[in-house]
Amino acid sequence: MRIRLGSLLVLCLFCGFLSQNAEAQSIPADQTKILFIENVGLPSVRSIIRSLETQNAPVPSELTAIAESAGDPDAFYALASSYFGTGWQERISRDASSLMDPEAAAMVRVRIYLASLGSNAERIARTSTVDANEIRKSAQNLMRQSQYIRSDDERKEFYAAFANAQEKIFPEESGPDLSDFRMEVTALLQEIVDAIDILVDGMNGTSLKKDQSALEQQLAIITGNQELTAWLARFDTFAGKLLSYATAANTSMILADAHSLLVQLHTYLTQLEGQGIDSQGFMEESAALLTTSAEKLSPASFETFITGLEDLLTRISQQFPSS
Amino acid sequence: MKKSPLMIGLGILLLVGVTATALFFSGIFGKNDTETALTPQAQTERLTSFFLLRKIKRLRDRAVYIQHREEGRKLLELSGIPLTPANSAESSSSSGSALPTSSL
Repeated sequence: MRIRLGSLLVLCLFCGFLSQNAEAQSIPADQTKILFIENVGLPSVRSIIRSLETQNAPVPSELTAIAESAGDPDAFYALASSYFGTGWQERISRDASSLMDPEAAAMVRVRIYLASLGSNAERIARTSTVDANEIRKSAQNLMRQSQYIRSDDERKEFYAAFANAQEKIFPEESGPDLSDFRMEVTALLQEIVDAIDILVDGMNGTSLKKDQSALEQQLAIITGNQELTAWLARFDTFAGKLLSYATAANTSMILADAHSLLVQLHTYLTQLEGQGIDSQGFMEESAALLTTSAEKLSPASFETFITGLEDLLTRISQQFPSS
Repeated sequence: MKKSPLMIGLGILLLVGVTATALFFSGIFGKNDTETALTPQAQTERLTSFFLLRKIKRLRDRAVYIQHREEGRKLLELSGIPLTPANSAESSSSSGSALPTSSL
């Protein structure tokens, strides 16, 4: 019995030693990260943010998120690496140390913009004619070029390439401007009134309608990028509040709901046609979508189907405003 | 007959297992039942939420596009590089510049 107890004790001590040893080995890696964040990473990010604020320049949310994640070394490293790319440690410390020179500070602002352009490439490509990969590549090339500027000629060359990329990604003759955006928002805010009635009851609905009306009024005073950013922050809060009432659903649920909706819509349009009222081609369109909704769809076909349904519903509501 | 503690233990385990299995299956089938019995109003709510979220996301993407275009113009303007007439007209109309805030 004593021997057994003794061996158990030895085993426990050995396990304890092993786990402590493993812990001791894991400390240095974390410690290195913590030390880097405390002494270089966080102060650099903070200096860059301060510099942008001094220039009355935008502070990308990604940069603020990196600073806020300083308490979690892994999160800090992951965010910084995905935003700035490889070699980010060197880049941010070099950028932060050059901020005293106004010209260098302006170039840091350009690099922050390029990092943001690259990380938002997918979203920008949804409006731009240039695809996301090309936007990302363009931002990376410009970023690289910006780091090797030594002379005035190289600086001019860089800005010429930057202007070229801008014109390609955001062409002057196409793409939405602020007035298009205002019109789009106005239409969406009108739809939101109906959505509030469907999704929210009672006092909460009344409060949301007040917020909606305030957003509509504030929209009129947006004349530039700063006001737009401030308005979007208010809109995000409002949208978050409204969507907290939304019912969660997966693709198959939405497909089933869309199918039921199309059955009703098609029946109604067929009745109209039966009564001699021209449905203006909507009956045939709804029939085609109804057939698709009964099929098993790939994610890409689902997206095409939903876009088609959304478009059909929008056109019907424009054609028959009271429907 | 006196039952051994092992038998009692096994009996309890069996009971717990049967109850857990029953709860598991009732959960699954119960969920399916509610899904098929969804009211038209609930279906409308779900579709409304879905389309609303899509539209809001699209609108935010547009905002990101506009914000980056404006900031890009501003940076070119600050660089002192001569701008095209259309560019400079647009840039001077915007009072400041901003990059996107977080997405939804």
